[in-house]
Amino acid sequence: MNCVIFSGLLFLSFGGLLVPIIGNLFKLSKEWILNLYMLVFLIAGLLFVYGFGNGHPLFPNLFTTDTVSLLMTLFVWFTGAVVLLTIYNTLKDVENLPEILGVFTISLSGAIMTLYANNFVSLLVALELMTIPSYYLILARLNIITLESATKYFFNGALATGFYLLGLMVIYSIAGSFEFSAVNKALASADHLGLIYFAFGFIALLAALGFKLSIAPFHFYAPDVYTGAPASVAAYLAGIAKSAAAIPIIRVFFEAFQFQKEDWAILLAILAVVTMTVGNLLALAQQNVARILAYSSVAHAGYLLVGFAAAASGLAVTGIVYQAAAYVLMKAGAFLIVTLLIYYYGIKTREQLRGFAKVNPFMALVFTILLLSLAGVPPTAGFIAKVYLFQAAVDAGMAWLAFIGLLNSAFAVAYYLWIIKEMYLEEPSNISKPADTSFVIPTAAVGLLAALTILFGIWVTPIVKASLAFTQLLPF
Amino acid sequence: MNFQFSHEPMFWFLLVTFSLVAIGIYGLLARKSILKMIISVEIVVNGANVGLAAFATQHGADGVIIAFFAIALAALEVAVGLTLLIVLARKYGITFPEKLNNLKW
Repeated sequence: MNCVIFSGLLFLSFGGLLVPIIGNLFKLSKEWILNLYMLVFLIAGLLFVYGFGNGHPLFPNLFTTDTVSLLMTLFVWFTGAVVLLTIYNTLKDVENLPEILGVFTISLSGAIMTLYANNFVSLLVALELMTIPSYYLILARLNIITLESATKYFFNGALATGFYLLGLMVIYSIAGSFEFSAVNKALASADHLGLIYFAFGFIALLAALGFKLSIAPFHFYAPDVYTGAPASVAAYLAGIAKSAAAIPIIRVFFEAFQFQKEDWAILLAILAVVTMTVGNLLALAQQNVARILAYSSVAHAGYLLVGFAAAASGLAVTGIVYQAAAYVLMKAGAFLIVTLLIYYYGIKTREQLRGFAKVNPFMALVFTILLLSLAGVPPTAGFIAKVYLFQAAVDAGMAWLAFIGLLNSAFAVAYYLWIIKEMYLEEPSNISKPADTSFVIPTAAVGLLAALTILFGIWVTPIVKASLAFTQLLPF
Repeated sequence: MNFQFSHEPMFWFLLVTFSLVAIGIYGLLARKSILKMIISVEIVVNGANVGLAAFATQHGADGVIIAFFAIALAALEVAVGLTLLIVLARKYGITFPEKLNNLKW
């Protein structure tokens, strides 16, 4: 992390802290609060852009600066700004809106911090900075459903923290250090008994990080939390938080645990198969659109794991980074469209979407592009990500894994296309036009996300270049 | 640096650590009250802290410092958990997790 990026992060977190206070002191209206937040985001974004190649490195043994984290910062920041705008528009009637936006901004600064973590301790602190405010974000609208969702997320997250600390303890007791590169060096010279003992710590860490990514045995909370929370918050949890956590996990596996690649690769391959299949099969059975997207996010965690399982291939990192970058755009965008559907049209299930394209053609088009990207149809970023992931699996000698992945993608197309079919090929039943026409601005903002998924489906160079430069830093 | 399992006092510290973690996980799965579940989560975190502090005697002060970090994080988590519990109990009279069953597929 260089000092320019760090100042941008400070700007975000102190903005989230101070804007509600300023708003209270000067009795600002909600529009002015939004303007202040947008100013904070704009300045932070300018600093993030300026941080490319400029600035002195800070905290070298806690945080690193490399091309992938710099690039992903821009993705996370931009998507975060769109989510902020949608939270503002759909939770306008909530009394403590300034504080909710502030909590969101602080949590986003944690998400950006995770991208740079280079040490088990800084990773823990960044993940907690991202997670703990999000428990409050779920409670933006206080009722029994959001309380249940927050309680489930809280206990899963708290147990994940406990497991993370247990894994941290085991690794520290063997390696005597928390830095990823030092851990790899120390573990490579450990004796047989030490490795068996290390396996306990590895399983605990895998469980903790699996909760963050919602991979197979730890995915039970995901659908409940993502449907119980306000959908705009679910866009943050399912889209931004998960793809931000994927980048440090690359470092954990490919840098700290690199010495035992063959052993964990096969374990992760099995987990990938289970996660993909469970997510896709359960998504097929759903009616609620938010729940379909929640299960599809579990399936996407499975595609991400294909990249980790293919660690022997040089393309694996490219696949994971492309998947993370595409995922943050398309999943957050899809959940934001669901937010707008629930808030302005009261549409929750697939049947209620019938004929929606005739009511609001632009929103239907944006939703279609995002769903096609999730399904992996060219020319979208989701397609390129899947090409790299499955190519990496074949390169690593796991052609069967790529085959199961392709089968799963084919299954997945069914439920995405089903939604599109309901929107375009059916006659509208009884969707009433909303009296409030403020949906234009957030829809246009989500439209920008959809445009970006198409742009990065055609213009492959920036992400691939960044991830190849990143691969060269890893000890292969 | 190799892991010294035969080193006598470390064995007992590890035993305490893993038993505390096991007690915590058992409590989280078996207890039927939100307050007891929060306490169980604390036991898991503190079990790991015991191990971190114990191994700091071998590897330098890092482990103790991180144990303090972890105590602060655990305090944050308890703050959130107690908030949830108080709201659930005061507004809805719920202190048992099985009453929370509105979200089902």
